[in-house]
Amino acid sequence: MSFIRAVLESSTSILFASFGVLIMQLAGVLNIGAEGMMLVGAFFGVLGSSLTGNAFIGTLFAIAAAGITGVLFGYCTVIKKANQVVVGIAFNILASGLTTTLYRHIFGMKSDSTKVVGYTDLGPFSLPVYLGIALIFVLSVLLYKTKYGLKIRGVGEYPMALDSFGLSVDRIRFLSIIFGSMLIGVGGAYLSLGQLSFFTEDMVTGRGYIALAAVIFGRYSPVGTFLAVLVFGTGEALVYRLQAIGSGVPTQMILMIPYLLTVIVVAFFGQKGEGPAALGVPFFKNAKE
Amino acid sequence: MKVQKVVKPLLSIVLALAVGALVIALVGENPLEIYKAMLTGAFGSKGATATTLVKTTTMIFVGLSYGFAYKGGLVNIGIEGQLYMGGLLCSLVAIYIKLPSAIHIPLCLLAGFVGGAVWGGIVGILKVKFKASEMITTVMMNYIAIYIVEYMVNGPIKEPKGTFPQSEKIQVTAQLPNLLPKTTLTIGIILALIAAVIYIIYWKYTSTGFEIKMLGASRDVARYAGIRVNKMVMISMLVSGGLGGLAGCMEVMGVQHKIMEGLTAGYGFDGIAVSLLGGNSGIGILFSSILFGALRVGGNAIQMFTSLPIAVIYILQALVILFVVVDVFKSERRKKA
Repeated sequence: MSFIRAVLESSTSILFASFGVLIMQLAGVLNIGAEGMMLVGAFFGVLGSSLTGNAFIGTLFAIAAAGITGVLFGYCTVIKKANQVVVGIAFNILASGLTTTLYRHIFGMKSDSTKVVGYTDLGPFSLPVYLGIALIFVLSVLLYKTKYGLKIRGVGEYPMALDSFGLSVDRIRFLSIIFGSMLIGVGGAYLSLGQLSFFTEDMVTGRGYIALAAVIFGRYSPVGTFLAVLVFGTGEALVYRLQAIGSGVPTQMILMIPYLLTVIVVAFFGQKGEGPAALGVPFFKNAKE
Repeated sequence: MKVQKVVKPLLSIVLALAVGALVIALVGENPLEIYKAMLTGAFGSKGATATTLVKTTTMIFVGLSYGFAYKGGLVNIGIEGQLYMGGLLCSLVAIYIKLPSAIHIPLCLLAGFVGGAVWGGIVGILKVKFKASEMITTVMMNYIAIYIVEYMVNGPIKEPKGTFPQSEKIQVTAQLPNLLPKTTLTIGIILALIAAVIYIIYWKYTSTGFEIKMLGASRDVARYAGIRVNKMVMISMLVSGGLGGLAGCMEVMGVQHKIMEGLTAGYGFDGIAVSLLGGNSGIGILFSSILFGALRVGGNAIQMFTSLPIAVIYILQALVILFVVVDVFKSERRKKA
């Protein structure tokens, strides 16, 4: 039972991030910058919580900061049509530099000064865990039963069609990026306020990329993504469990598990995950193709 | 056209420094003082300049590594891991084998290249056989490499006497000879220059270089043109990884003279900025390596002498990349039909 609990808790952070990535990918935007956006969420969540003593206001900080990051990402990739992969990588480097600099500036070097108020449990879990699970249904309905979902998937699959219908591809993509970034920010906040109650430099350690893997493994659907995240969450929970038992296996080999698992999953289950047709391709309104 | 090639990167640097100054001012430091401290730290004395050139050496290799994969349309975010694995294999040969210097040094370099190439090659195989996105697998391979090295220096190759997680010193015969007395500068910089020259020749004159570039330009066109896509992907990842491994050799044989946790402080990621700022060309990479080498050394100086952490240089680095790829002054460009 406690292991299932650990799996769900480890999964929640990646789940929010994956859903954010999913929405952006469906809209045709490849977000390599998820790692950095999570880091921004993790930092501003802790900052907000330490300023107000309330983890949920902290989460609002995280959502706002990640949303602003999304606006910048949208400016670079949608308005300026810059290479999405390179912009994403730059955002990851930028997030690492900015959060470390701000963290040292605001909290100083003392490690214990950053212990902040995290989420409190309601029943067996804290609120974000339930919200994450509820999102599976909300997103399934949003993406497949509403016109908004149709628009989002449309700009990812065949932007020309929506354009000729008089809709703004850029606008739909931009809004998808902002919404997605906010979700990714919540994922980061859950990492620093749910799984831990503090911020450490570069604490996301690959989860943003694992979220990308989860979306591919999950065949670009909310339910599939959730199941994929559970696999990765199990890997992470296994790390804690094996470390706690003291199995005699070297620590480093245990810490490697989530990354090995991701490589294996991407290799053996990634190939059929055909993404949206226009994924990663900037849309030029006047392009003749 | 030629002017554009130089103006754009320079403008990107200026813009990055300007926005960086705003961030520095925001955290309560004087940007001019900080930049001055960085400049002094990087070029303020003969020793400082030599140290900058030592870091430039590593930057050239990681820059060439990123550029090599990028030419083929591959995104190698795994240079950090390739550097670690190259450094690990290199240090094994450098520590446990006794040979005269003239054989030992080339053998260590070969080992380092192989270490990095294997790590890049795994990514290549995963891409060719299973269509696994290299953007994800390279990052995962970074973490795996870091943990392998941490395991090794905490156990199997830990120095017999000592408490730190590090190997014993490499043989003197495996150390890169000094180039300038009383400084840290080694012949590594010459090796890096040779690598850059080979890089230039490779893209300009060889047929596989041409094939890889075609693949980078368009996968579909390359396939129609009868280019052996899978083979080219493998070559790209093997060589890119190998160059990353050589960067590891430079750190092991020229700087640290051992392998330990934290052998690289994120140099693998510096390669991305180095290559992109240099337009992925050999000459461009040489120049941008000096800049990012100086940023590294200057960053260490501000970490020591001011309240700012070295992480500030990541902000500058990211801004440089963004200003290179985002045309802030132009409105929507149209694709050439």
